[in-house]
Amino acid sequence: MSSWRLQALSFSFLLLGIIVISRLFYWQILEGEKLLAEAESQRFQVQEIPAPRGKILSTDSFPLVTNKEAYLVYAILSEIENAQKTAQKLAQVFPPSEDLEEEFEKRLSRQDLAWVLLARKVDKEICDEIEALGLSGIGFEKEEKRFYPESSMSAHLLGFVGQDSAGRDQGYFGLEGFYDLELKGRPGILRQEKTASGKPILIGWKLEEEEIPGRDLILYLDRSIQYMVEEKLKDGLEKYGAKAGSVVIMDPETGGIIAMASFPNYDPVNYAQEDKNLFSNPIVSESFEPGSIFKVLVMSAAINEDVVKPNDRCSVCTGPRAISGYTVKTWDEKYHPDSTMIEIIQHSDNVGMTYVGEKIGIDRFYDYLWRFGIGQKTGIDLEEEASPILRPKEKWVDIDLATASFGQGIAITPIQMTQAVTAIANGGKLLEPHVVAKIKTRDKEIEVKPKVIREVINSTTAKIITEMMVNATEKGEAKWAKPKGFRIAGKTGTAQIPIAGHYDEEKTIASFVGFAPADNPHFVMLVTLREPTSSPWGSETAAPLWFDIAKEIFVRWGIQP
Amino acid sequence: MMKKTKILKNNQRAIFLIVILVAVFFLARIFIANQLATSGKLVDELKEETNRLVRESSRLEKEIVELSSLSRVSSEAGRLGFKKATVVSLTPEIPVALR
Repeated sequence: MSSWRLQALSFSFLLLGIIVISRLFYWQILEGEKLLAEAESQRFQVQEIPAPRGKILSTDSFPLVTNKEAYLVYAILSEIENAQKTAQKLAQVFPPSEDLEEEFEKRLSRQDLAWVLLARKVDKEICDEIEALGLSGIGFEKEEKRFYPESSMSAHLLGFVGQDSAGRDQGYFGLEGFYDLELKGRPGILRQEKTASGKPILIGWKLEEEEIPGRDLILYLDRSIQYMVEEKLKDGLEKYGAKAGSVVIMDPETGGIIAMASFPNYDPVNYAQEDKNLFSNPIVSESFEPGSIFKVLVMSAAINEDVVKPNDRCSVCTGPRAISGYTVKTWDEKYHPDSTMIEIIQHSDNVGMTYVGEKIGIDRFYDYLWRFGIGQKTGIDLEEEASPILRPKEKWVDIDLATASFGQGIAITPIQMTQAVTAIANGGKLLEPHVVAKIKTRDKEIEVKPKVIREVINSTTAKIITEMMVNATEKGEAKWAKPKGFRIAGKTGTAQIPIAGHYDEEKTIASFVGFAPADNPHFVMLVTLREPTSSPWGSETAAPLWFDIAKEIFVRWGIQP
Repeated sequence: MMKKTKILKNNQRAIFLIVILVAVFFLARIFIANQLATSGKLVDELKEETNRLVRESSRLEKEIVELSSLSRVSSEAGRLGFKKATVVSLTPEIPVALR
């Protein structure tokens, strides 16, 4: 063969070799990672093992919130025969909703996707109906959804579970919000080799990370007391024609919340259809001017500082009192000259309280507000707690001291008021209120220990104020409604509502705060009614409701007179 | 000469035994691996059965709590004719004979 033919042949072999090597370089190096990933996706399956969300249990371990079977409904678009007919059949199975059929049709008609989500958290019964329709291309993926055996009871306390921006379950408000991390747990992962038909290969490679179930919460909440309180509060709102109302009951020894109810409330199952202004628990997030119920705290400060004694007499209680251009009057415009401190509380005498306030002075008054927890969050384990800000001491003038001494011109939340009175009930200790008593994991129960924040008053002062409150209940304007035979320490309140820089002439917040039995308190309770129309007075609305609830508690807990 | 033949024969026997053993273990491994490889289907079935039982247990638990909820008990009591006690008086002493 001539030499040029040999060279041409060598050259063509060389060229072929270069082409083959280039191609191999392209597939093995440049596209190598992509092909490896595709091969792995064919060989391996990755499954996320969802972690069940923790339950919320009452003190008797009954589930107030638990989980039930639900499904995610999806469509594989390539298998949908007729989008319009499929959408029509699906819409008939779901609860009626505006534009549902149109929405389904829109999703099923998409050309740019292989898979579409149709609905989440669908009940099993609806999924069974969809399956019975025999529609092609419709599939289900198991998930869980929250279930409330007691319906909307304790809705404000519990909160609800919605979705975050990534579509994952997220707790909002109340306990679901505060304890979201504990409740959600951690999903597990299972990565293993599979056969062509998708079955796992046992001797193949496997990586398993077990899911960690969410922790359960065991509350201080007494389910039967909560149910009774909600029924009584609902009846009370109707009877007294009030716009809104709340009841909170606390254990004076632990700070545990035995019951907490407010209306209007909402249904946590259908939260998306509810007014979102109702989501926030007003007991921990809405403030009000407390009025006369605040007097027990002011008197506690005065007695504790020894600036007044129970039988000291008021020298200014002869009539209305002018302070810095304002006139302070009593609620009934009756005046009791030379009243003792005991009688000032008994008559709920605003003028007498200005006398007590002056005796304390702005500095010490402000200090006691802080000690009682006013102007600070209580630390209760509910997501939406807020506290109104206390104006700085330097900005206080005489009229501020005067009005604050009878509970006006100062704002607190119901939980702050309850926490403060609990300090009187338990001998002087300010406790951190808590809804959760224990957190249950797979292996153990972690007790949430009661926390004493500080001592506010000494035990002698607490006993004196208790007796003043018992006297107020026995001889004050609410005495007609008090259950016979029981020593109840309490105080009525009727606070005017500030609107646009002045106080409304007719609208009030009626309240009653107290604890019983006075000598060995089992509970502290605050009842508030907003704008009662049958009567503006706390003694005629909130007080009878308080006593009505207390009577039930006495019977259920076997507390004898 | 005879001694050398004997040693050779013993060596051959030893090699033969080793080969047999290796072959047996090799076959055993193949057999076990085959059994395990095809057990994936059984595992899937057992997992499905476990999931079914867990779902059933969850359904029964849901039914129990629904039936024992206070709202249901209250409405059932009303339907059965029970009425709330209107007069309840509490006595200072425990109303039982102690002796």
